[in-house]
Amino acid sequence: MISTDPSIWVMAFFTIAITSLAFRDNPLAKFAEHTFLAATAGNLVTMAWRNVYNIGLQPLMKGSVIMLVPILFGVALYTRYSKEYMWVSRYPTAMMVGIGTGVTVRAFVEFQFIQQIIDTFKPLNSFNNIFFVATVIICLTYFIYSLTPKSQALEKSMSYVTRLGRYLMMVAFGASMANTVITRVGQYAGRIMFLLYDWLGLG
Amino acid sequence: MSIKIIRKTVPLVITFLVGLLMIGQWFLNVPSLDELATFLQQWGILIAAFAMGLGSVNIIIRSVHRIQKREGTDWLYAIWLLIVFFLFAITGIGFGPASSQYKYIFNTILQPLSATMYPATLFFLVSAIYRTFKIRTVEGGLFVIVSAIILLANAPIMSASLPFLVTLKSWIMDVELTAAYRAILLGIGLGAIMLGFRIIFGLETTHLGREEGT
Amino acid sequence: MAGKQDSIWIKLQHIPREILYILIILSMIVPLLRPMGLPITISPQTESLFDSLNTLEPGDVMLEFIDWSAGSMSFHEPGCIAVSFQAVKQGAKLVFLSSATEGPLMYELMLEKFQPVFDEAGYVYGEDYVYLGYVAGQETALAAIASDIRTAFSIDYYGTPLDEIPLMQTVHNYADYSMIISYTMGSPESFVRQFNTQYNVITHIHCGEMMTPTILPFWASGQITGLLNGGVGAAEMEVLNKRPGDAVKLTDVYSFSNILVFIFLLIGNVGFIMQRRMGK
Repeated sequence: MISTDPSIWVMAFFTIAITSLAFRDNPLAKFAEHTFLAATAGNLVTMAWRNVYNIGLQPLMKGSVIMLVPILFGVALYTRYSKEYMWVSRYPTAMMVGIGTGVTVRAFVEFQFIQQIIDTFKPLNSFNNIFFVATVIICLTYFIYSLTPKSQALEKSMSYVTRLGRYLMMVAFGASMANTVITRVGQYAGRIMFLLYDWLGLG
Repeated sequence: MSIKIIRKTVPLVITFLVGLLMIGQWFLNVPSLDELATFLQQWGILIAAFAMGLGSVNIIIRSVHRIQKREGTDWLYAIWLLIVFFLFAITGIGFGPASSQYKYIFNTILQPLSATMYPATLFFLVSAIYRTFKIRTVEGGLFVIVSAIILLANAPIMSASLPFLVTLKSWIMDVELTAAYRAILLGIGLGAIMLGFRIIFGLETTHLGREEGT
Repeated sequence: MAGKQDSIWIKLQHIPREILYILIILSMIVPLLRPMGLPITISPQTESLFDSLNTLEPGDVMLEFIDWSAGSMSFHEPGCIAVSFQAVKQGAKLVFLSSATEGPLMYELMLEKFQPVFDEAGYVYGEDYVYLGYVAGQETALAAIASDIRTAFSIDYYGTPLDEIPLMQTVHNYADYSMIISYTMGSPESFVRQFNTQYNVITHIHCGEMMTPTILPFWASGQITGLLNGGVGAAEMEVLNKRPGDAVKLTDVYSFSNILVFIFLLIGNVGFIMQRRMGK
């Protein structure tokens, strides 16, 4: 039974309007795009306000005067819209970037190097393990641009290795691309489920 | 000279000190350092929350300009944009995101739009696959053939009829792809660490914006 | 555009895109109206998540990051429901939180479907599960949550101070989290960095299939214990739970849509190869 709930009809309208964008640009799709942009920005502001109030303003009102510093830093971010005082926004930006970079970089060596390299040293006692280790080394070789071989024979054999590395990476990218299609299929199927079951009542 | 120090050098020093403190917290087991770093992380969260409003301010400024210009029907969309933005912002801040009012407008307006916007790129993807992915070279051939194998192996109707597809897909994903992406990740990791240290040591200043007038 | 005089091979490469799009939509409609219920193979990544959840003991605290947006709700929501069901079955306490802006409303939508499970298990809000809301700052916030959760949250989503919530009185930092799981289409690596790399907290990820290739090396090295691969992974989890739901319905869609995309790929390439052979 087709839905009589007005909100379901509005949801169906927006779903179809955005989908129509794939076929051709039209006023309905443009309307839906603007609505999306505005709603996303409004949602961002809502969520941001909760954090500002709970982490900054409430402690300040309870007597934690030190919180005035990050609050002023946060407000200072908006000076970027003034040509004369834009430089003031560099202070909070510098702090945010410093914290974010420090927090990310400090874990990188162990996270993306040590653990990964340890796991690459597999025992060479099976085809899969030998293939795995060889693939990692060959693909890494592809990224060495600064090596200058001392002989033509070495240069030629290096070119075979880098070409093999390229082939191995293309296999990985092909699988990656298929996974991207599968993701989008799964995501869009959710919308079709909504239209069929919730809107048209066919499920 | 002092203008340059205030406007450029001090921010770089802030990035350096704060970045070094965060890294120091990781490697040194000093309780006071831990406390200071955790405290600064809270500041980072608060400043990031303020930063979330920057995009909205930009949208408002641009929409006002479009309304002032009155070109074609563009300005009507800009008016609608501002209406929806303030509807969400005022409802969310006034009633709170947990309120039934906010949930209603979110579920009716933003949820279907967000749920369709990115998935709708499926159509462009399918069109690109059909028109662009042709076997012109060995690399292209490998790309297309492996894509085809993974697509079919992830179709239960095919994997039930041809079980070898599942074995092949598992081998491609768990051995070949993992190994190739590991090599790529090692390269990316190196670049990321270099960039991170360049930012902390002030060699990379793009995050501070333009230099003119400093 | 192919003209009337062009060979069949050129025409094969120029099927109007509108026809492709309509066929894709139909390939989704048909299996959703007539589900087939085909068998699903469980991957080792999903199995290791399931086995890890089975090591949870009553009173263990699991952090669940509701970081999906409406775009990936079709598989993240059933995945979260399936994982949470297993955790509740083990008697674990659940702390839900979000580092994505749509997370809070996605949590509310998920809770509408999951509340009956909480009710049946006798779970009470504040004692057995809690939702803390959204925190800004991405990886900085994660670092804060790992070292001291009260740095990021002073109240829960509904405004109750953390110290007044019975469950949160024993939850402070990484030492109190038995495991974490992130349902995200963003940066799953940041969760691994901040929880597993520094504090050895067991970390699970549920991401979209398109992110799985970049995450698999971390699962292979053991930095990620369990990995749900998008909709396929969510369906596998539902099968392991013996509670087939929306994710299992999606797998029927994959059967048709994947094969259709394969056919498009085939047609385009057959036309291209035959056209080249005929020397045009």
